[in-house]
Amino acid sequence: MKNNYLKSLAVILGFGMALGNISCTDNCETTRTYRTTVPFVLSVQEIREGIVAQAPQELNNLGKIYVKDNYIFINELKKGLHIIDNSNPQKPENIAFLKVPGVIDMAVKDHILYADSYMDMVTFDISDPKNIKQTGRVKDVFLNGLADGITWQYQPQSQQVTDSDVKIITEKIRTNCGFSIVNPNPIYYDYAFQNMSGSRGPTSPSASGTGQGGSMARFTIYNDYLYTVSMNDLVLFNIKSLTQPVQESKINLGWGIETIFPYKDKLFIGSNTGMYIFDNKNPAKPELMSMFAHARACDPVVVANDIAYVTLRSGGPCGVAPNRLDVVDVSSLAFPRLVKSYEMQNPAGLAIDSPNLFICEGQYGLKSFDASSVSDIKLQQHIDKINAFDMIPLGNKHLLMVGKDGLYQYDTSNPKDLKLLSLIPVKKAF
Amino acid sequence: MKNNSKKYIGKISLIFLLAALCTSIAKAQEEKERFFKKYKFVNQTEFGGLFGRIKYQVYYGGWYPYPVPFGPTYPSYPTQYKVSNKVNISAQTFNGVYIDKKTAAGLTIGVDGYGETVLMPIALGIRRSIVQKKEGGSSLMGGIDVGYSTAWLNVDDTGFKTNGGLLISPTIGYRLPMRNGSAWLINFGYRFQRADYIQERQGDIYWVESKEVRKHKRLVFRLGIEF
Repeated sequence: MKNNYLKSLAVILGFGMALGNISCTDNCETTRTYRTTVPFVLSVQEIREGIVAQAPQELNNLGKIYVKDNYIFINELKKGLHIIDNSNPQKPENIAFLKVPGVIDMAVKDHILYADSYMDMVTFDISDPKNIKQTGRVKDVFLNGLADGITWQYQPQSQQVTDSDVKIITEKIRTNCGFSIVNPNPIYYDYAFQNMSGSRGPTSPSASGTGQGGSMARFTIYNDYLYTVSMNDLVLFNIKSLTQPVQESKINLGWGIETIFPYKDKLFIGSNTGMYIFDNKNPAKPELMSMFAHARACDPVVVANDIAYVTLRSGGPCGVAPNRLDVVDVSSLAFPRLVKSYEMQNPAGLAIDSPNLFICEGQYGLKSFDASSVSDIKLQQHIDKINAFDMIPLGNKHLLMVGKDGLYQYDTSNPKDLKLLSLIPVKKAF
Repeated sequence: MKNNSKKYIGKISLIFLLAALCTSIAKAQEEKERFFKKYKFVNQTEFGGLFGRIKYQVYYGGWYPYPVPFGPTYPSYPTQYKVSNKVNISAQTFNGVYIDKKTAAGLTIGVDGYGETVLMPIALGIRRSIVQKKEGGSSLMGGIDVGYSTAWLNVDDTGFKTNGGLLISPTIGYRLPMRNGSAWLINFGYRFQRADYIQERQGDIYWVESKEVRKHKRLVFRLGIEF
């Protein structure tokens, strides 16, 4: 009898333990991969000694592009510059890589390339693109900068630059089974600074001997002056002596400056709340003439024949602006006037080659419009299934376009049927 | 084209099926009667709750809903968990037949809620009387449902997809007969439910990928009726 009790006690205990093991706690595990930023510190010495000419490398993480004669300079964000020989657009050749720490922008005049390298402005002799030499440096001109949504900062006291890397993290976490969604710590990306929007009109280079940049450019050359816009300042360099620029003045522009675009003797400065027009009759002292305000949005601008084409796009940090193309009459520069707005999908960069207007629609592809009548712009062709961000019209019915997958070149002699000349693919980033 | 042919095949087979059904409907009726004479039909419909806890990771003691940032300036914190109790509703109906005097087998279809997620289990179920003191009296019943939960009734957030999964639910309880032949049911048990929650949106600047495997482990308590 006693034995029986013990047996049943053992059974009950065993059953209890089994039940305890099973437990009534939900177990939900999320495997997630997301992007975040990891800060790192560089010493000024490291940055200044980091400039090296190297053999050509595969394109990766494309930034701004700049064209000078037969050469295309493609910025690999904060890493360096790819130099592409484009004498034959059907077969462009990647010829060299110039490692420049912290490079975001560049401009060329004659045989001199101006590029930023975190806090410094560096000049290079590019008369032989395969053998680029550093010729000068203006120290400590920039204190901070923003590229691809990430800010870097220079501390002159400690002679250090703090920058951040985008890092992809994969981790397993135990979540609350969807009773509420747990978010990772995302980085704040500002599309406006992604260098991949913007564009350039057909206007010839604004000073003889200079090259052509995408309109997301923050560097531009006008006569003997190099204009650079930092996050809130316009910094002027006198480049009469090509190899050794001299910093002349600094004009505060307020917050959110994105691009600088020279047109005739005016400077169009795009911020994310509007478009500033500066009179540049005296290149050493640009003066604010007017401002055309719009909703907070990312807004590349091109200007041609006194008509400014502004694309506004929504999405993420670009705000909740509508996706559209605004056509603005700027014949009276003091009083810019909206002519008409057109609905778009997600317009980024654009280019005008009168009477044809080309618009990059991001993931929706590339569109070719007939803009002979400003109040009646008609779609001529839509190339989808490609990713289009920014473009530069090169003249001779030749269009250079950057997308996520690479550098495309199109023959636009028939705007209803663009022909792909070549494609330099990008090493898949993400 | 492919789709079209598929549709046609579907339609044609449906017509054949209907034709076959029509010709055999009289016969089927007879067979059905014979079948249910031999195996008595049983329905058990129950409502109840799923009782359990969730235990999940929090950061800075739950102060911030996201992980501690990385980098040299931030120390690493030990993983911290937060626990909260959850009760969710569950309803199910078991339709089956007695395959012997004590055992019924059939199909269980239900609706289970787990917070924002609604799952619809479709399972094979067995009910068996374990102890019965006298014929026609109350009995202790054991039961088990094993099957798959669909997410047909669920509506997802944009860019996400919920998939159901395996369901295992053993129960034990009382069957209290009424005079009219029906019976009250009280059941206790365990319910294991698996589900997946997957991010489908692509090209997101923050998230690259997110896949959640959910294993709900709950105590189940149900009241119901059998006829």
